[in-house]
Amino acid sequence: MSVAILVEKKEKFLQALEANFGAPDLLSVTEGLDFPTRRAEKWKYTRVNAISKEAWQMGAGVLDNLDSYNPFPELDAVSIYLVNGQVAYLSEELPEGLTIESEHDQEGALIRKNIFTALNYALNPISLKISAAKNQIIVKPVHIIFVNSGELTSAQTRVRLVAEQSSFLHVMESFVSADSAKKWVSHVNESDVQANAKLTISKWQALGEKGYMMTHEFSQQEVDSTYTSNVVTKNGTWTRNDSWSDLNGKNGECNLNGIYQPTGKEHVDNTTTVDHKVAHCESNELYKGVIYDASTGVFNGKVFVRPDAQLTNAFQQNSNIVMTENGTMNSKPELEIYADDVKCSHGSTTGQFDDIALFYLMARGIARENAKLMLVNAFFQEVLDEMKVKEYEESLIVH
Amino acid sequence: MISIKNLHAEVEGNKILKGLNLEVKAGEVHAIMGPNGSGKSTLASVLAGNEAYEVTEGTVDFDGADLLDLDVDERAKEGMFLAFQYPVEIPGVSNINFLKAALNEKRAHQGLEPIKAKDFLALVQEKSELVELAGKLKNRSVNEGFSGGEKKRNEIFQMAMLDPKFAILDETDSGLDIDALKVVSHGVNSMRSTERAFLVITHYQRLLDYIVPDFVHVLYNGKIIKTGPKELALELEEKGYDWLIEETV
Ligand SMILES: Nc1ncnc2c1ncn2[C@@H]1O[C@H](COP(=O)(O)OP(=O)(O)OP(=O)(O)O)[C@@H](O)[C@H]1O
Ligand SMILES: [Mg+2]
Repeated sequence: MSVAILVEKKEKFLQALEANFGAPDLLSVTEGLDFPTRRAEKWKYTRVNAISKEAWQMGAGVLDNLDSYNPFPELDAVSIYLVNGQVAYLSEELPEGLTIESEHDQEGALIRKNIFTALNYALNPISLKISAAKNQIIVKPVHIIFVNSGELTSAQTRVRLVAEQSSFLHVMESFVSADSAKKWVSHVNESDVQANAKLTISKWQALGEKGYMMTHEFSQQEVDSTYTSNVVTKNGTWTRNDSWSDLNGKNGECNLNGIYQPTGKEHVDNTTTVDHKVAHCESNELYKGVIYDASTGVFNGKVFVRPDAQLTNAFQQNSNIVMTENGTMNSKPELEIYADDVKCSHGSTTGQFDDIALFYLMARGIARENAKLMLVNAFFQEVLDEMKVKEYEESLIVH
Repeated sequence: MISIKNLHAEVEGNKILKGLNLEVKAGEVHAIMGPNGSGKSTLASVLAGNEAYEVTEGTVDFDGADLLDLDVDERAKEGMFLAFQYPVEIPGVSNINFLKAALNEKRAHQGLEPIKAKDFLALVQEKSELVELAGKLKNRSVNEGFSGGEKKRNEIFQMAMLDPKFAILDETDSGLDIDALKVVSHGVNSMRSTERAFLVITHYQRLLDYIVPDFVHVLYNGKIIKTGPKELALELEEKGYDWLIEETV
């Protein structure tokens, strides 16, 4: 496409958003930021065309029977419901040390990452801020259920997490659809993990048919802290998960785990950047996918080990099973190491289904579909063991 | 029990079985011997239903059912069992859970209720003792980290659990020491009955001292070229296969 057409396309896209969201001058907000093209390294296998061609609008912030959209109704959690990006319900009683507030903010670490993050801040001036106070162990998870509905609606949501010194917090975010209308969800997380704190954020993505979902996740960690990010892409037409994890303090641990299982023509892309800026930190990435039908999977994993980051342990693994000849997996693990005393490993495997194992199970009398399920379960079990989210295990592992 | 007529099969375009005939009646034990690459495991795989092998000609009647028309699991549910020459390691799939699923699928096929947890555990205990595997199966993935001998004993354990009517043992004795061989043979012998038949594939006459066959067949180049009584195994061990092969050519 020529530059002129691209500019025209962007203007048209922004004009619709300005009108429909009552947003300010989006052209200046996104100045210098264009739709990513496949020439950009991180967007080589993922096209944004299906999003950039539409005139998106804001959906209504209310919906009946909210409870019915909770994918984990048995979970004992502090629940929050957002409907089309607007807070619709919030548990009244919060455990001691936990605060949840709406915050007016239009600035943030990710604001200039790309056109979509810039728009996220501009289209929605309010973020949800969840904090665990110093030394507080918040035993119950906070579960945010993002329900989306309506034709061509877009939810632009932002959740900021602060785990103060020596605190513990687990936030679960579940993205679901109330209907099968085309929708676009663009979500930002910014997390501060302070000294000796442990923060886990677990995402469940189930936007289903015609669901277009992007997440942008940023974390910064201080000394002795642990940050864990889990993402299960259960279903959704198009999913792109971007994360940037900065290890800024010594003895920090960053764990990124992902499971995806696209079917039909679904597309799932996990793009991660882990930045070891200081010494004595550890990062562990484990992403596993089963690619069914004519779907596609993408994994881009970048790990930087900066000159000061001696004694870094960085581990990255992406394993895939492609079930059919029409499925595609593009996997690109990448380490950039500028320190010399480090232990780093990365691996990527993409293979077919293990037919001999399938035959073995079936030869004992297990029907084909059940045997396949057993093998897929076994494949994902390693990641589920890392995630330690019982609800995910129960939902994915069907016995 | 099973009647194989003019069976032809190929794998990746190579013709392996070239007109094999074999009839096994209930209560019988048949041994199959033959040089490496003659097609013994291919026969076992074809009977069990491995899709890597294509049957191009012939029929197999399994107690009145058209065996070749059944899916792999249906054959097992109808009472077919294959003890693999090379048992497969399946990390992440629990030995016990998988066997319970298999047993219950078979029971459902027979119109029976799922087995009670207590009864299942008792059965596991009994059958694992039979092959001296007791205690080695809990919290383990299928064959993962098992020694060669343990894998073979696990095959017999699974056979005992699933109670098939026709069992193929593909070189279950290969690589076993004498104690393990006795254990495996004892497991098999304890299951011999007038309702059940065995097809025992082996290279070694020694096994047939323990599991005494009614017939010994020689498979060569995709066909059975000789059938005899159990003494044939002794003769083969002494003289090798060349004299037989020359006879056929
Ligand atoms: N999956 C396969 N792909 C290609 N060739 C195969 C395959 N399986 C078997 N063959 C070939 O078919 C022939 C018969 O093999 P098979 O395993 O049936 O022999 P066997 O009699 O069991 O030998 P052994 O005594 O060594 O176990 C061999 O030439 C073998 O290489
Ligand atoms: Mg063989």
